[in-house]
Formats: sequence, C-alpha cells, structure tokens
Amino acid sequence: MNANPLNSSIKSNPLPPSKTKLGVGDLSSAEMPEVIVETSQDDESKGDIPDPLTIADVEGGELKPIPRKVDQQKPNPNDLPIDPEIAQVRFKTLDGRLNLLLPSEPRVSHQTAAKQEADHAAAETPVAPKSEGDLKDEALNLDAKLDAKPLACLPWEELMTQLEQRMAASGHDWKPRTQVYLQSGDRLLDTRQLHQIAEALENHQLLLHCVVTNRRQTAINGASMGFAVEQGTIFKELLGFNPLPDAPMDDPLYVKTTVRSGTEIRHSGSIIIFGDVNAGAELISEGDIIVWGKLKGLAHAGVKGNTKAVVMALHLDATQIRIAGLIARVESPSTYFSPEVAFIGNQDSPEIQIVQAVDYSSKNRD
Amino acid sequence: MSRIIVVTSGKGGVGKTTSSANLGMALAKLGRKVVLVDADFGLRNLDLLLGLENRIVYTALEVIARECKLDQALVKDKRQPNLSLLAAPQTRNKTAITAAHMKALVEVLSRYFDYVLIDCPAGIESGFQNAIAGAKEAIVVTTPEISAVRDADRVVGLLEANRITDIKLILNRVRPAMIKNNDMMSVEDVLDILSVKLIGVVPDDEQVIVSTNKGEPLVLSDKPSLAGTAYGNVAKRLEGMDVEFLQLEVPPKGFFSRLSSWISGNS
Repeated sequence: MNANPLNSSIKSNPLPPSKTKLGVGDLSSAEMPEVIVETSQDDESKGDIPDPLTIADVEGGELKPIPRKVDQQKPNPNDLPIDPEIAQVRFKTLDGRLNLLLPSEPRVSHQTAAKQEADHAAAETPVAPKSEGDLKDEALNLDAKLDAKPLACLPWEELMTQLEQRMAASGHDWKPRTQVYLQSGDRLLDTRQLHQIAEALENHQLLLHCVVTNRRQTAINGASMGFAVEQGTIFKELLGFNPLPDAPMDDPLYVKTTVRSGTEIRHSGSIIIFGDVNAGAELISEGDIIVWGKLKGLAHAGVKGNTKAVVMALHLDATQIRIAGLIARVESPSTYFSPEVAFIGNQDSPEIQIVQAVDYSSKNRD
Repeated sequence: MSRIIVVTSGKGGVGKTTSSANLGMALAKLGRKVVLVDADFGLRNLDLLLGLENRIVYTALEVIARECKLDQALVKDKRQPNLSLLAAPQTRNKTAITAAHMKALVEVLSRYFDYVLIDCPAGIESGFQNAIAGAKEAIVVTTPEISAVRDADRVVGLLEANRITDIKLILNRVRPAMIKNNDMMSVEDVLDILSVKLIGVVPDDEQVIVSTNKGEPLVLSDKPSLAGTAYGNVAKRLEGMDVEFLQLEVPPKGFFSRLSSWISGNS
C-alpha cells in the first residue's frame, strides 16, 4: 500500500504550499465533496488564513518561521530525531513469539554512551592522561548529559503508564500465561524496573519469559532474577522500521477503549479504534485510521507519506486531520452526525476532502 | 470492607478539597467512620476547610518517618466524632514521600475506618501518583468548563492505566441558568466526553466561600444550602442509596422581573 508511485514523486517534487480554508461549507449539499484544505500556487495569504505548515514544522517541536523555499526543506522521514516506531511501548508477535518492545532511550544519551566508550578506548591507549583533548571531551560529555535530561523522551513512569494502557486497550486475545519476550534494546533496566514490568504483565495474565537486551548490565539483572536472557540486537523487522519505502506495513492495531486526552497511539500500520477518541488524544498511523466512535482528537494517517491513506469515523469532529503531508482542520463544533471519510481527493493536486461515508464508498473506490 | 477513594481532578481550583471535606463530613453524619487524608503536601488546605488548622500537631510525614504514632497524628473532629483528618505537612513539598509510603499509610488507615478519602493535589506529577497509589476507587471532580473537562479526561485515562477502574464523577459549580442559555456545557455534554458514572451535580453556590472561610463544611449546617444538599446526596449514593438528582431548575421569574422584561420588550 505504501508502494504508490506518488510517494516517490512527492519526495522528489515537493507539494506546493497548502492553504487551509476555514468554513465547512454547506453541509446540506451532500453530493458535493466538502473541501477543507485546498492547495494553491500563489504565495499571497488571504486575510488571516495561516500560512501552510509542512509536516517537518509540526514534528520539529519548536516553532520556527516557515521556510518559503520548501524544496530544500522537504524532510526525509528517516531524518526525524526519534524514529516514531521506537518512541512507544509496543507488543508484536513475530514467529509465534509475543514480543514487548520498549522505546529506546533518547539519542543524545546514546551519543553520550558512544562517547564514553570512545573515551574509555582513548584512556586505554598509552597517551599521557589529562591531555587537553581529554578535558575538552569531558566538558563535551557533560554538556551532552545535561542536554539529555530535558530531551528524555519517555521517563520510566510514563513508559509504565503506556504499557498499562496498551495492555488494557489491546484487543488481542492473548492466552493466559503467554510467554513474553522483552525487547529492551539499548535501554538499561535495573532489577526494580524488570520486576515492575513482570508484575504489570502478570496482572494481565502474561508471563515475562525472556529479556532480550544489548546492555550487559540489563542481561545480568535479568538473569539474576531468573529470567531467560538473550543478548543481541532487535531485528529491524521487529521494530516495524521499514528500511524500504515499499516495505509492507504492520498488521492493523486494534484498540478497544476510549482514547483519552494525553494518550498517543502510534503504529506502523492501520489503526482501528473501537471507542471514542477524545480531544487531546493523538492517533498516528502509517496506514488508515478507522474510529468506530467519535473522533475529536488529532488523526494523522499515512504518516510516512502514503497519500492514499484515509481517516474515517462515525463522527468526524477531529481537532486536526493529517494525511501524508497535508493538514486540515474540521470546523468545530461539527454538528454533522453521520459517518464521514477524510481522504486526499485528487492525487494530482492534493487536498484533503471529507465526504459522507456513503458517498465515499460509491465514488472513490478505485 | 473499607473503601479507599481518591478525590482528584487534574485541574486546580475545581473543588477537590471542598468536595473531600463535604463528602467526608456527610459520610460521617451517615454514621460511617471516615478519615480524610490530605495528600496535597506543601499546599495543605483541607484542615482549613474543616476548621481544624489549630489542632494539628503531627502530619502524615511524621507518621511515615515513625516520629509519632498514627493516632497521634489523626485529628478527630469535635463536631462529628466519626470524622478524622490526617493533615499534610506544610513545610515540605510533594517529593517528601514516595508512592510506597502513601500506599502503606492508606492500607493501615483502612483497617480502622470505613472510608479513607484522599484529597489529591492538582496536576498529574508525583503528588498525583502518590495520592492515587493506595486508592481502590476514584471520584473525579470537574466543572463544566472545557479546560477542566479536558484535564479530567486525561486524569481518567491515567487512573485507568493505574488500574483504578471504579471512577465516579462530580460535576461542580453548575449554573443552570447559563446552561439554559447555552452558555455553559450541560451535564450531558460533560458525560458525553468523559463517559464516567455521574455521582453528583453540585450547583454553584456562594455559601461555599462562606463555609470555606468559616471552616464549617456546608453539610454541617442544619439547613444546608443547595450545594450542601447535593454533597449529602453524593454521600448517600456512595453508600449505595438510590437518590434522585437535584432538580436544578432556573427559578421562575418573579412578577416584577417579568414586568420589567415586558416593559423592556424582551418578555
């Protein structure tokens, strides 16, 4: 599904700046597709309509002036500071093994670790200790450590909260006493943390069986607590990290709960929510987003650039809808209580349209 | 089997402490042994609302540090002996204790009381995590404002993630007249978003401020105001009684106001 030719064409030839058009238009005219975002070539902004945003601006975190020349700024999804897939707690079954993937620690600390290792290596070489270079490196190290703190993407408490939410909401019908392989990657886990994970899993009838880690200390801790231990790297495929643009997506993620404010669900496949998505919640999917309930939060379908991704909900009242590189907002409060679908209509001049579900299926099926 | 209930909201100033004080007092009046635990370390208020400030010698911190016995720190309310208060330390902040401490403390209290009501601090940081640590149930207080409801939604999510699934809702500071004019979210609007079981609707009431300043919970009064009655009803519903929700109708306009609006042409 990712492998559409448009994907690559967008990469080489970036989208023209899109312009958000407010106003839902005449809702009664059901046969006319309702246009929320339209793209236009002229750079003059009309009235107080904000300038277009690219996904890079949104994902960057900090507000910065929107570059006029988008051509050079076109982001490569792989350049994002944190790979989305590793930023969240996930369960994934591979070869009949249930894996629990922990998000990696922020890159900065990786660099620090790498640096420290390099320093150790340097210290082992017979060079006069405390040379100026070493001191400089020390200072740099310190800076990196200081930087690492505010950047820490997922503190432990939050990780556990995510784990609980994932287990409570998952539509998986894991058999009781299913063995779980904990893929902790580069994350350093002490015995207390391992114990907490095991306890949390146990509350959902899951059994922590094996700790797979890159860190020696984590392996020792795991072994000392009586878990099986594997040292090694997480397979790329396990992370759902698609090295190729046309690699297949993950299986859909089925979540049966109300997704509440502050909860973010990221998945490298389609997301199906059986429940409401409240304002303040975020759904980010590489494929489609289907909400059997009210969608009031933010939904981003086709996050890796799939312009054929759609967002559909029983009541589409999202704060914002993003598909691939386009952003639309639904004028709130929507009083339109009928299932709707948001999609990128014309693939030649991309714009997000919203139509009633009935009309979508009859008109837009390929 | 005693019940351990945390009163929380996410947003500050929506009436957590007022609700805790009144609920505690109302439950005590129904003959239950109640202890109120102020978990708002560093910003304690519950003692003020109960008018017990000057009787506090020891706080939860001293109990945890084993500097005093539990019963030394419990302040018994003289007006209602079924009600006790375990105050929070004023001089320390939220990081002074851990969730494990709080859990242990609450568990001990639950052996001696029918109800342990925990007044949670605002926010969702460590103070919140500590306050909910030992709780089995939760009462979420919110007001019909979009910001309060949003925060309540987040808190409900966090409570569920911490395996507290028995969550009830108090909608505070409701102004029926404003709802009627579509200027305020209605009870249904809030329930639609939060989808949590409603246990009380408390109208906006000036008497709340008076009672706070006097240190006398609303429910203590012989002729409780509307808000006081509402809290009394919440307590009864907690006890499993089936109580009708108060009819918060806009009082019909008097003759003179009708006359004046007729004159001004609005009728």
